[in-house]
Parts: sequence; structure tokens; C-alpha cells
Amino acid sequence: MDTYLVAAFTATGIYVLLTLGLMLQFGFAGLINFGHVAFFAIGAYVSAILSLHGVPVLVSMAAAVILAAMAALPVGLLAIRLREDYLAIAMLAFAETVRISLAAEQWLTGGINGLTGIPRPFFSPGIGRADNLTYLAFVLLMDVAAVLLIFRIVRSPFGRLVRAIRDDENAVQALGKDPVRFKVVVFVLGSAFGGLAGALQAHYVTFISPDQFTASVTFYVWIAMILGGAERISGAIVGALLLMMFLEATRFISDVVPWISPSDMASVRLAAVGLALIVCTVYFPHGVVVRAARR
Amino acid sequence: MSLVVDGVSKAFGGLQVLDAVSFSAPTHERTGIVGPNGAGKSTLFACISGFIRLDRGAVHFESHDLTQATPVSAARWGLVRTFQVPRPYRHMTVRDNLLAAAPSQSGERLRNLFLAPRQVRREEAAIRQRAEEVLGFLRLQSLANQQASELSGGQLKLLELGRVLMTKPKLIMLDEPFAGVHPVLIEQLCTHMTSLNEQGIGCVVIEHNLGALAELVSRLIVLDRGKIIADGSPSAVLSDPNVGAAYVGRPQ
Amino acid sequence: MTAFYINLAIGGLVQGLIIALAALAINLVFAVGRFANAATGDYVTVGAYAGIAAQAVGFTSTLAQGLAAALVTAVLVPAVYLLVFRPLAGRPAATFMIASVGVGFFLRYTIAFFVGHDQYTFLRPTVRALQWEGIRMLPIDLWLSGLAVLAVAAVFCILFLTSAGRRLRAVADNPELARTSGIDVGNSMMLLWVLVGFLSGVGGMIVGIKTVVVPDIGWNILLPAFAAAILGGVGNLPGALIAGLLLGVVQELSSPIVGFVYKQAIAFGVLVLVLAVRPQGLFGARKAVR
Repeated sequence: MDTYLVAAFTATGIYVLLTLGLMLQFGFAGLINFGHVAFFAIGAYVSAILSLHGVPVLVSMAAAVILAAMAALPVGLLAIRLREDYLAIAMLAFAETVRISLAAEQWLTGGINGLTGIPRPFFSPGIGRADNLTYLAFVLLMDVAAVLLIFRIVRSPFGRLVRAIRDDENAVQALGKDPVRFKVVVFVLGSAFGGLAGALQAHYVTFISPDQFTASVTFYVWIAMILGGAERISGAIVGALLLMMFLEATRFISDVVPWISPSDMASVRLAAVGLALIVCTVYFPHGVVVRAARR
Repeated sequence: MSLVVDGVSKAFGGLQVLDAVSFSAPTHERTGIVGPNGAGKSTLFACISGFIRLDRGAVHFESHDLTQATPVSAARWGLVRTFQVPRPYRHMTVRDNLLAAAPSQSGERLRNLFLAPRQVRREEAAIRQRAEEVLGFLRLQSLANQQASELSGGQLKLLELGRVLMTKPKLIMLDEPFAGVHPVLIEQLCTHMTSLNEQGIGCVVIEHNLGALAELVSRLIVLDRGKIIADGSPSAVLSDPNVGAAYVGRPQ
Repeated sequence: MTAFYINLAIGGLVQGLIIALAALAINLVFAVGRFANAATGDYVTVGAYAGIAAQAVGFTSTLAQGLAAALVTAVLVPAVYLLVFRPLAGRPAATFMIASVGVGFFLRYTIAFFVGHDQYTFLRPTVRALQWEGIRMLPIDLWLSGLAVLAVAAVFCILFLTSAGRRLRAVADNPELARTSGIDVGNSMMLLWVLVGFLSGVGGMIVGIKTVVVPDIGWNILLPAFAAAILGGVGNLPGALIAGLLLGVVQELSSPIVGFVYKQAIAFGVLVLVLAVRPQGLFGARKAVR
């Protein structure tokens, strides 16, 4: 039972990072990013590829975060100026393209078969339970660091101006500051969090392939963020927990009920996510979606 | 130092909203712009401050060419505007509204937060000091910790002015600052603008309220259907028969 | 050698028809509803499966299957409007878009749950391709092209030759003005979604016949359709058609160069290019994109 709990909490911890990243972009800066999974994927693959070529795991992870941020920069610069629904479409297209590229470039990424045997960090005991516990501690440590970082940023003059931008972008411009720079920084930061989550994921599951990085992941994170509340940091934690509970519950059902196959369950999950998105937008008018989309 | 508007024209669809508007507004003066509804006053402001692209003409402020500039550049060069309907940062306190408006904060660059924390703290303290001064000048101290969304219309106008003051402007463009505001507050606003003018900060004020405006400004420009029909001292302009004709028979 | 490219272009035109139909559906919603309908692809999927269902219950003629497909979507899509989009009236465009993503997911995975991920095909007699100097054309392509043209013509006739269509165009132009002139905006919206549903159903049939029917079939054309919609100019109906055909041809012609897999990324490249260089698309008006 406790190995199960360790696994569930590790996955939750990784989703917390993803949700925090998206929360920065959407809840904090009002950006509608439908391509979040792209940086999750980039982080995972960069870290996996480097470490499989002998680079120490922690260094690979750091490189993954940096490369995810670097990839986010041109995307952000191009996309930030777009109207919100165009931004969403462009990011969706970007994420799909990343996935296609990962599946195509077999020499680098192992193609559709993916990469296996991704190593754990040096401090891993190497044996079963202790190994997983140590990794969980590492993921939680990253979560704490991320939360502290966000606290610092939100309470800073930078954070103050981002809040002003979200409240009234035109007024910010009329007072002499360009919102674009701030939005790009927040976008890159959120994507860096996504990259870190990807790196943690890769070394946790030790096997990655392109179909772990479909658009479904983006929308899992979206619903986690919406349910938890995109305005508060605690919301990311609550949302990730809710999502994990939901995913685990559905997996449990498909294990126990014989005539529902795992792939059927996957369909149920995603149909439920779709329904949840509809319900949240229609029935929670004072929710997050209205606030950040206001211009 | 002046704002120079030279032959500015703007058409929307088939309608010529501004037609070769030219005037200059020095920073040591207080200039008023009046005119009946539809005269083009708001469009003129929008063109000057960079919110709308003008079709023909030029706008200069000091040595800067504002013709193609964005609102951000215009504001950075010291020409800052308020909005007719105030645009506060609704979910932030009055004090935070002011703090956010202060220019050139190194704390707004992420790297400085981590690489130069002491400098950020120092600047933040200085900005807070200035915000207190502005709050005092506008007599808003008691509202400092209120959320902007809870303020009355008149208080929001003061907040608009406060934010503009934080940017250390050279020329303030006020868009109908007296609309819907209590007469006592109007008097306060005029006192503030006069006091600022004595410190070297000029203003250009669009208004409907001719009475209050004539008291405040030393120069009055009248706009009618996109053209300037009068430009001079308030008393001269108000006794100009053309001006009276423009207002008579036009619904206010 | 040129025959090779002409054959690619023909294939691209057919592919482009599918994209064009979806792009038209997207631009209709952009023009009237003023939001990006991310469920469009999944409406197409529903159409394809409706056709398969018709085939399964015994309708063997492609025409009957197609009618069934168009009928199902022409009813389902307005129902979605009533249940999801109409309650959202007055909210920002982004809200509609997020809801439409939810609709898409719900439709796609409900189908996947009940029907599974197996491939379904439309059973058709094998007919030899028409050949001329190395250029090959399948008769079915001609039929499908004709079908698409008819569907588009029908939609345009309704929009431009009927009074209901005129009212819809008035709503697209200026909803407030239309309302105050006495036009029932609700009825016009229903017409909009019936047209969108109809187009999606036809598109679903065509893509189902050309390829195989799987739950992802519509999602796979969503991004090319959006790229075409934006390339043609958001809200621009003829633009969507031209851009869709263009994109289809460009995708196919580029496949020898970029390979089969990256062909799909062409749509993304086009999207980026348009948004970066000329956001109003080829034929669009200079509205707020940036």
C-alpha cells in the first residue's frame, strides 16, 4: 500500500509543478496557454537524452530547465502579442508540432518507441522502496522551492506590475510600461516549471515516449488549475491532488471492473475532463476563466 | 517645453473627425480644450497620446516626435494622460496602484530581485516615500489601504491623477476630469493642477464644464466638428460669437 | 515527373477540400459567434461516425450515409450551442474557446468509449483509377469534390439568397444593430450552428471515405483547419475555402521534401508565418489580432 502511496504522491508532486507553471501564466498573467505539455516534453526528453549519454542526472535536469526556458523565449515573444484565442491556437499547434518532431526524430529521441533505462539521480539508494522514497523527497523539495520562488516573485515590484497588467493592460501602457516584456518573462518562467516537471517525470518513470505528451496532458493540468483555483498558490496543490485522486480512482475502477478496459477508462477520464471544462466555464461565472480573460 | 500639434487630421469611415488641428501647449501653461459633443476632443487626445494612429500631421513633445509613437513611449517622454472613465487597478489597493505607476523600478526586472536585492529594497523605500507624498498632496491618505474597486467616482479621479503624478510627468493630459464629480472636489482638483503648474508641470484639459475650466486654464481652445474655431484667453474665447454659435443648437 | 507532382496536387486538393470545409465552419463561427471553436474537428468526427453507423444499420448507398451524417451533426451541433454556448453569452471569447475544448474532448472520448479505437471504413466497391499520361485520379475523388462543392454552394446560397441568411449576415456584421432592428438573434444563431453542423457532417463523410474512421480523425484536421481559417482571414468565408485548398496542396506538394510526418507540421508553419507577418490573413480585414 505504501509503495502505491509513494507513487501517487510523486506523480502528484510532478503535477503540482505543472499546475504552478500554468497558474503563473494564466492566473497571474492571464495568458491562455494550450501548449503547456510542449515544455513538459522538452524538459523530459532533454534530461533523458543527456543523462543517457552520461551526463549526471542533476546536471541533465538543470539543462532541461534551461533549455525549456530557452525554447519558451522565442515562442513567447511571437505569441504574447496575439489576441488570447489566437495565442491558444498557436500554442496548441506548437505542442502538437513538438510531439510530431519527437516521434519523427528517431536518431535523437528513439522515435515512437521512446527512451528507456533513464537513470535515477546519484543520491538514489538504487533499491526499490528506499529509492522511490528518496525520489519523492526530491520532488517535494522541488515543489517547496518552486512555491517559495513564486511567493518571492508575486510579492515583488515585478509581481505588482503583473497584477496591474492583469487588471488593466491599457492603463499600464498609458503610464509608460510595456506589458509585453512582463508577460514574456512570466511565460518563460511557467514553461521552465513545466520543463522541470518533465525532467522529474523522465527520471521517475525511467521510460518516456511521445504519447505520454499529448494535448490531453495540457488539459489535465488546466482542469487541475481551474478546480483548485488559479489565483492562489495553494490552489495548484489542491488541484493537483484532486486530479491525482481522480486519475487514481479511474484506474482503480478499470482494474476492478472486468468489462472496462484501461483504454476505455482513459476515454472516460478524458470525456470527464471535457465535461468538467464545460461545467466549470458555464456554471462558475465568477471563476478564474472570466477574470484573467478580461482585457 | 511644449506639446506641438501640427495639422493633425483623422477620419473614421467617411467622417472627418479631426481636420488640420494645430496648436501648442507649453508646460508652463494650463490649456483647456472644449467643444460640443462630437467635436473630436477625445479623438484628439487619443491621437496625441498614441492610442490612435493619425492620418496626417505631426505631434511633437519637446524634442520627441510622437507622431508614430506608442502610448508607452509618449508616457516615458513625460506626456501622460488620464482616462475619461478612470481605469484603476481594481484588485489592488490605492497605495499599490500608486506604487505600480512609479517608473524605472529595478525590482521590475526579475534578475535584480535575486542579483541586486539591496538596490531593489532601497528603490522600493524611495518609491513608498513618494507615494506617501502623492497621497498627502491629494489628501488620499485615509484611503491608502482601500481596494481601488471600493472607491467612489470622485476618489477614482484623484487616484488617476495620483498615478500620473507618480510617473514624474512633464505635461498631463486630463480627459474630462470634472465629469460626475462633486463641485468641492472640482475645486480641489483645480487647486492641485494650479499647484502642479507652479512646479513646472503643465496640463491640457478636455472638459465640458466650461465654467470650472475657464477658472483653471490660462488658455482655451475650442474645437467644433474637428476644426479649431477659437484659441486664446478664456475671456476672449467665451465672448467670441462663433463659439456661442457652435454651442447653441447642438445637444449637450 | 510532372505527373508525380500533379498527382500530389490532386491528392492535396482533395485533402484541401476537407480542410476547407472545416475552415469554413470555423470562420462561420468566428464571423458570427466571434470565438475560436475548437470543437469543430470533433464535430467532423461525429459526422464520420454517424455515416459509419448508417452503414452499419444497412444503408449501403454513400448518399444515404452522407445524408445521415449531415443530419446527425446538423442536429447535434445546435444542441451543443443551446446547452453550452448560449448560456455563455456575454462572456469573453476565451471562455467560449475553453468550453469548446471541453465539448470536443467530451464528444471525442464518449465516442471512443462506446465504439473503441478500432478503425472503421466505408465499404466501397473498388474502382479503377482514371489515367491520363501518368496522371491518376480516382472517381471517388471526383464524387467527393462534387459533394463538397455542392455542400459549400448550398451554404452560400442560404447565406446570400435567403432572407434568413441575410439576417444571419446582419447579426455577423453588428449584433446590437441587428437586435434593435428586430432580428431574432437566437434564430440566426440556430441557423449558424445548423450550417456549421451540416458542413462538419459532410466533411466527416469525406474524410471518413478517404481515410479510416477513428476517434482522432477530426482532431487531426483541427490545426490545419485553424491555420487555413486564419490564413484566409478570420471570419472570411471565401478566404477559408481558398486557404484550405491552398494548404492541402502545399502540404501534399511538400511531402517529398519534408517527409510524411512533418507534412503535418506544415500547417503549424503556415500558422506561425501568418500570425507573425500578416495576422489578418490573405483576405481578412485589419481587425484586432495583436
